[in-house]
Amino acid sequence: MNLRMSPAPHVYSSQSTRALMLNVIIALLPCAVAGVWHFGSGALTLILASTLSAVLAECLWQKLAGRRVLIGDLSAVVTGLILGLNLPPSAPWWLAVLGSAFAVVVVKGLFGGLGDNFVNPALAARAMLLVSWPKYMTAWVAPAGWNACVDAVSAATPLASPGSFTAWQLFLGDVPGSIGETCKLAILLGLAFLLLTKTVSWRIPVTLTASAFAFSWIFGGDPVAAILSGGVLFAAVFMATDYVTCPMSAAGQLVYAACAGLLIVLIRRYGLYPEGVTFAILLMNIAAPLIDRCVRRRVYGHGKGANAHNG
Amino acid sequence: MTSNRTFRGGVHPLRARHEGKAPTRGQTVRDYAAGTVTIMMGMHLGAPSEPCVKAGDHVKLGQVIGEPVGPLGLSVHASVSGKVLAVGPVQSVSSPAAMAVTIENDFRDEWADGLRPLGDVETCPAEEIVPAIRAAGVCGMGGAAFPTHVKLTVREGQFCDTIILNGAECETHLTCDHRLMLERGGRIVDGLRAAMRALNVKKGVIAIEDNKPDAIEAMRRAAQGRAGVEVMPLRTKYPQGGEKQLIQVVTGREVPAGKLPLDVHVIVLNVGTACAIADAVIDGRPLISRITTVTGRVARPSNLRVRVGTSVADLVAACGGYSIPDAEVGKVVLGGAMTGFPCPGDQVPIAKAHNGVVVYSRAEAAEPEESPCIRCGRCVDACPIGLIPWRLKYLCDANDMKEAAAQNVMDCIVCGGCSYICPAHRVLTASFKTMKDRIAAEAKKGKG
Amino acid sequence: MRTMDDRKHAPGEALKYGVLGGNPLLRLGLGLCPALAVTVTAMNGLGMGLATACVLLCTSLTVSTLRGLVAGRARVPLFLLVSAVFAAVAQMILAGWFPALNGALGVFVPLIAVNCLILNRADEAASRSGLMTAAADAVGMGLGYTAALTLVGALRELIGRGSVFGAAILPSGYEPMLLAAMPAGGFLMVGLLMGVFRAVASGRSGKKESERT
Repeated sequence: MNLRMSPAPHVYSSQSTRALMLNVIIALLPCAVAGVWHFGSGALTLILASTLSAVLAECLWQKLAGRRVLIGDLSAVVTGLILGLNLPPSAPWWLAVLGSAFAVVVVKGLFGGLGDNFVNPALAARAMLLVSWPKYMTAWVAPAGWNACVDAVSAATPLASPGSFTAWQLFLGDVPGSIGETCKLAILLGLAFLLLTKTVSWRIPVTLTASAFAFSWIFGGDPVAAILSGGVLFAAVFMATDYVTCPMSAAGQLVYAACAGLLIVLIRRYGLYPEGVTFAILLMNIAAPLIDRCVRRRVYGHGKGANAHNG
Repeated sequence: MTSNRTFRGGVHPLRARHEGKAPTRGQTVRDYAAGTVTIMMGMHLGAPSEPCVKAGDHVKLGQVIGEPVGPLGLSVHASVSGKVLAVGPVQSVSSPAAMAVTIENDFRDEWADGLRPLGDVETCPAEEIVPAIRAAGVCGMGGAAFPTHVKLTVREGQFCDTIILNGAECETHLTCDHRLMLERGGRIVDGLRAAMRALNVKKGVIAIEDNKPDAIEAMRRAAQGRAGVEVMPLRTKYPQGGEKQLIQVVTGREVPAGKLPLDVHVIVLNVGTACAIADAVIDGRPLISRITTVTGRVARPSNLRVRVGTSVADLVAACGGYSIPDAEVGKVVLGGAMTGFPCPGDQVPIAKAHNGVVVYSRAEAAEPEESPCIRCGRCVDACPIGLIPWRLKYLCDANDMKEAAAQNVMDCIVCGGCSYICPAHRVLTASFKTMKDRIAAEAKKGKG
Repeated sequence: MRTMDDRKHAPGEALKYGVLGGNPLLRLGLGLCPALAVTVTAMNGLGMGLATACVLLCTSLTVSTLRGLVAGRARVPLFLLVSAVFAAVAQMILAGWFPALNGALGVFVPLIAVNCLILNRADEAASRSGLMTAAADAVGMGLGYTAALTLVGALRELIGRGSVFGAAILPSGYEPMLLAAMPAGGFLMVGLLMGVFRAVASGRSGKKESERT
């Protein structure tokens, strides 16, 4: 009998990294379906291109860098899918390919791979694309079904022309915008799935949305329209909750999400871009380690609690 | 019925499968006596005892075969009557071979002379209780194996106001304490009362996790009418049975770092230890047997009352043998799945504190591959002590002893919760244990 | 970092060191400021590099001649003074004979005076060795810096405009990447090149490299 001598514990949770990533992919599917429903062939091409490109780029990079090829953990698929859903549906396919490759190789791979990226890779790639090819990244089309991108009727997003859409239209996604961020119903379905499977905690999505709502009202805007326009909900559920770039403590996460909400409103109101989500979250990603450092956890047996006992 | 108080963190291993306890918790305990027993001299936390018999001697049941050595020394008694086959080093569950006495059972179970029963715990002289416990070689039976008579010694300037009996049994797979509470509840309370009388303690609490409602009921009935004894149900969460967590939830007090429970005026004993105390005081009988849960890939998972020194192979045979071919057996664990020790072979003998044997097949024993940390923070949420396991892991990997100590690695209770919950299957608990041992060894070198 | 004592003082060695193993921009990280700011085109890079190289050569020769006269903490103001003089001369030459380039380089021409490449070489090499060695070091470093700046400039121009030295290389359908023309893009480009350089260098020299550094 050849017995293994591995140390305790001898039982493992069934939630592996791959299982968690798979949950996120499933949660993103409603947004992808809604995006293709509204924006058609262009959206589908972009989603596929960016996902495939992310996986290929990670595979190539890991081989080149002599590391173990870990595409099986599905994290590249998640990055590619999120980036694809963040692009305008009329963007050319090579934009998605370059963006994905940048996200996976430069933002993730060069900094150490899974778990070591200092900002959200998909968001950083989106920022890079926005700065590099602004003409493609700010061209929006009206949602018109399968041929929406072929006919390419250019239209203004809810953020660029507030008040021209009803709340119901905003909620169902019958508005111009990025592929995945328009249909709020799909996003909420994704959130429900993530919460049920205990993949993410309620703290960041709820706090970020509440914070954006509150600050938008404080700064004199329409708070409901504010959270239903642009990428606030999508970011609150899928981007701000990225494990690697958000603080680990509960209190830290609340601070992080609240500040992100404030920044979104500030950038939208006083900044150059109509949408503030990308940069707000990127800035908070950079601040996350600082927040972690400031929020100290009390260790059992140390500090005040340990000395407070009878007698 | 359940206490609302709980400790921070914690995990729920095997929750969907009743923590692996379903196969054995409904069965009555069976007695089992093997043909040979190999009794280790070092079954307790302290220096191994010195054997005082030699090969060829005939020993009686309960006869002293090992003399205590040092301040934490403990007597070792023969768990069967018969002929001593050998006195020498034997492979046990820890790496270097250790001294043991092998006895061939003549199945006559002749008790040795000189047993000194004290009778009813409520009326016996209180000052003779602890010496009786010492003479009986009782040690902590929940796994720690600390000599009980030392634990029940209160030094000048200290006092104890509460004794807690640990009936939580939070470890997976184990049901020995559960069955003990159902079948010998009265004795358990007797043992608690004996300890309380010995130290003049007014309050005794029997803490039981709420996944054992029948045990809670049984202990409530057993505790009726007994002075100062109450039963407290606790929320089921691993590691509720950890000493620090138990004290915090039952009394609200926190043991300061580096200190002992007695420093917050509490003593914690396992229910099995309480039963052994009762046996020692009432009948004068030494600790020679214990209940061990044998489960996993065996034909008939059971709770067995076994003599100390019975080999794992004999226990498995008593359960109908392995339920898979020998070549398919992948791992045998002494203890539960969260903190148990892997056995190098199945000839390993059971010691006073070994509460379970879990057999895994090769497929079950295969460890998942370690992958990069994704900073999900589940380990931080799980840690009952408030450590940051992912950060400690990096420090341990870099062998940074100074910084690891600064990050409180010495406070880690090695419960295994972080390793269990980690989605990347990182080797956390084992790294911390290694680092703790290293730091302790360095400290010892520095001192002496 | 390799010092003067570690390697042979032959001009060939110094040249190779300056361009490859000790390339000031891509290995030693010196002179980053102009590298990020002005290398939007290959021509800018080349011009800046040559201007800096000339100032470096003159400064090194002068400092080498004056070595031994000033020591201790007073030597850095001396280096600064010398390099400022030659930077002023360079500025006048550029303004007179290469006005377009001068306009493109802008404020970074007078800033050559405080380019840490020049000060570093003056302190490490020129102030401790004779004229020949100082000259060899300066030429090597200057060539390396120019080559690096030109490379960065060429790549940024290629990606950001589709041309190199003004000649269109990529087809007209190419969508230029505007980031490449911005300092952020320069940051990324220099960083990536540093990585590639290091990977190639360690691949070629293998153990020898790690033993020395």
